[in-house]
Amino acid sequence: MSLFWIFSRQSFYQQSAYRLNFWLEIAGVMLQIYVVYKLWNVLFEQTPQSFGGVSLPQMITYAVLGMLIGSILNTGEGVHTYIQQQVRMGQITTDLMKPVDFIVHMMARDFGSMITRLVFLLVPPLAISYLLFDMVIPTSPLRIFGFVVALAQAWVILFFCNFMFGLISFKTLDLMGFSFTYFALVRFASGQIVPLWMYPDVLQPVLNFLPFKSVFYTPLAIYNGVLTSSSMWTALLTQTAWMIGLFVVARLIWGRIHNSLIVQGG
Amino acid sequence: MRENMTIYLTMIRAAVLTRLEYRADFVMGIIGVFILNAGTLATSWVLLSRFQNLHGWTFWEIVFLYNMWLLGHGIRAVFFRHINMLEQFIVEGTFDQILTRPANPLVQFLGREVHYLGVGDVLLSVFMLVLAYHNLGLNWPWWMFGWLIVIALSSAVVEMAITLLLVSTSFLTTRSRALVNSASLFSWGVVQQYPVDMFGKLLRNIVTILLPFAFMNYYPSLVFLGKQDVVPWGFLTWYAPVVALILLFLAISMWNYGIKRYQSSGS
Amino acid sequence: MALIEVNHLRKEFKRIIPKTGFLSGIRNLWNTDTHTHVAVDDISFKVEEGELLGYIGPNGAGKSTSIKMLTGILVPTSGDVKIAGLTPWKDRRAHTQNIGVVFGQKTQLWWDIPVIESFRVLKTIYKIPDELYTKNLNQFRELLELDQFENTPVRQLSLGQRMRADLAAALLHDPKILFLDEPTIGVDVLAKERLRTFIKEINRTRGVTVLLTTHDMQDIEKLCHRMAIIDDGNILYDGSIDALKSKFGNERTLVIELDDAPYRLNLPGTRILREEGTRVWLAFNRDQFSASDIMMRVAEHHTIRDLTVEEPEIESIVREIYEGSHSGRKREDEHVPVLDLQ
Ligand SMILES: Nc1ncnc2c1ncn2[C@@H]1O[C@H](COP(=O)(O)OP(=O)(O)OP(=O)(O)O)[C@@H](O)[C@H]1O
Ligand SMILES: [Mg+2]
Repeated sequence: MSLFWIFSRQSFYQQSAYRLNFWLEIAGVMLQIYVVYKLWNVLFEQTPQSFGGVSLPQMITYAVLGMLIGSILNTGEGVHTYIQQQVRMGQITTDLMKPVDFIVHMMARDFGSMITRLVFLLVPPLAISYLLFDMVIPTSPLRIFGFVVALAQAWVILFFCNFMFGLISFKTLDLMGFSFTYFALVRFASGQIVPLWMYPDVLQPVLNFLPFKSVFYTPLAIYNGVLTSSSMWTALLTQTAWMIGLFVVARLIWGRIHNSLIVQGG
Repeated sequence: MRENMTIYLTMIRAAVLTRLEYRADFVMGIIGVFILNAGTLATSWVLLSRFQNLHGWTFWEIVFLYNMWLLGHGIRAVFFRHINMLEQFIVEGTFDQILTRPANPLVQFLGREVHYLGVGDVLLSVFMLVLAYHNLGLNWPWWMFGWLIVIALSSAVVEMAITLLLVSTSFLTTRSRALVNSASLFSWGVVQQYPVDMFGKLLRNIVTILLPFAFMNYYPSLVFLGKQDVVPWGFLTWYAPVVALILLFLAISMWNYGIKRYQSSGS
Repeated sequence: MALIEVNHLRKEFKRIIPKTGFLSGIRNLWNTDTHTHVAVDDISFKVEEGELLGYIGPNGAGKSTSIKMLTGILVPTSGDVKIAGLTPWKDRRAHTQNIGVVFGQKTQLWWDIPVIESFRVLKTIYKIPDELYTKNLNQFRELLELDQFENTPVRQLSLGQRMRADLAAALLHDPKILFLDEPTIGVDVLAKERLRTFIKEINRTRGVTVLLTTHDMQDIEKLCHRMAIIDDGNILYDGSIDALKSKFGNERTLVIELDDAPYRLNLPGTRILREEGTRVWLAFNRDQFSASDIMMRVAEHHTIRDLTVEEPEIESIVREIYEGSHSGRKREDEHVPVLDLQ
């Protein structure tokens, strides 16, 4: 377990080294927050009845937090881009020779960068948003607890999705074309921008069938109070199920790839 | 001018040959571009099938707005995508070589690469613009189609010139990537899919004056969609090509200034 | 008037000194403390038409920086350069028609396309007339055996082939002067020999003036009539190689093979450099003694089987000059880290 922290810390330092980028990135995040804030304000003014009982502050909270979580749980860069890079440079073998399980190593790296982003890119803009906008604060300890658990599980789920996506590069060397598809799919099906309850009914079965709902929608809807008590527990358990399921599948696939790598000598 | 054109075309030929070496990526890339844009449009569709309009813009009007942007963006991506990478050209010494040759450095730099992903953007956007035209029941006079081509080119120039302007700071600092990335957020994060009139004055002014990305799609679309009387700044709809030319002038000046500074500072 | 005239050339680079300590990351965002680094201090020399000048010096001496100023890439802080009557950075366009440049570290050809296609682009850029282009190309095909790989993309070429292609590319437009920055870097012995022959040939038959930098003394010995040694941005030596040898290298080495090893003598005026098996290396000052003096004195006590006199190697002379230039002063900027502003 201590190795986990070593890899995490290394990744944390690497990321916090980019100074100028940091300020510009914060500015970029604030811009995006303003855009979604304005978007929902305009829509709410137009037709408040279309929100189905959800208040404007609840909606703003969902959107702002969705934007911010999007910058820490992201599909643009992560374990998959790392794997692809290593495979293409032919350096994946150095990772395999490390005295840690590959999946644990990758998780540690990802955890480090997630925490860095959480500290630098989520907390400050969130604080600013609370000062500027009218947003809801989860008061009940149960809801806060639910949110934290949901967020942690969301990270694990997205990690395994990214991980398995990254494994494609062992076959193709390049992820370029696929990554657009993956990126678009996660963005659309996770409810990061538009909450899933607003999607047309025809799409609901498909959305329920994909793990991405658990990544953004679940923590966000718990935070802003759309999912409460029993529906919250259901959502959390669904997440746990996805987590375990994806873990098992990832292990299986990785085991196969790993074996064939050893056979071919890297 | 003529000489520059000859050199540019010869270099483009070499750049195309380079791309052809990587033919396999082509199809995958185009499909990827289609899906990426389809994803963004699908989100707009979900939103507008629930709310009917966004600040007075219907779904198909948003589609038009989006694809106006995509068309200009695609054209610029085919020919000028690599201007974002000036930093690399400088660090790797490619730029020094450009300076040891008798042709204009900007022409040599621009002619260095072409990119196929933009081809997907262009194809998709033309297709979607036609769809939007039909679904909106538009009926333009003939000259409007000519104007659309002018606007498509001027959109490409607007985006290219803003990027070139910002990236020329590489000559002074060698690091411009973060700056360019943040600035382009005003392009793909703001004007791309949202009608600018829904935002506050500050943001509107930024995308009109400071980083005038709104001239890529929002202002030109006003006349195409017959909306120029709806907003008080409707007259700006005719100014996109002028803005493009001014930006191009500024970008080239900044570029030349940057080269001078580079030659005396070496970094 | 000489073809190249360099007068008191100087180039300073400004670097930002990063802050350290409390909140250094944040304070660096508006940090403007700079440190001036002198890459080229004060360099003057002349090169006549048709000369082949070798430009050597340790890493960081300022060779590449000088070449960048002579080719018009960089503007010097002060000083003046006239090449064929032009100032490189002021008359950059006209000047580039007169020169050909090869940076050994990086190809100037298009990476992914066949060599011949790169040549075509260069033909347009330099506005090379058809006959000249064909004539030159045919000649280089012969001299450099370009036809073996002219249809191969550069990324698939070996380093030696790439260097040949680069040399040809730099000469297509018939430049008066050729600047070569480490043209033999990473190339094997045979390929080096071939590159040298080519450069020599071009210099002889076309009268192209060549200025080259290298870390390989063989390049200098085999190619150059004249060499300039530069360190810390100053010229330490400028002259012919023979003159350098006689000026600095007055020590000769006598290698004696004995029948009755080991060597037992301690002759005044000689120094034992090394002993190995039956052989011994004796260094002596040739201004004081002749080789035959020493040989005879050794023969009084030993039976000599074989003997040779070794000329001083240029390499060791140069090493001594580098070392001499360093022992005197400390390099002033050794510990200044460079701020990476990303
Ligand atoms: N763009 C630059 N900015 C700051 N310092 C520079 C720059 N270019 C070179 N230098 C510095 O100037 C000095 C001379 O560098 P130069 O590249 O001329 O050396 P060189 O003689 O070519 O060395 P080498 O044999 O290693 O190629 C070095 O200390 C180098 O760090
Ligand atoms: Mg050098």
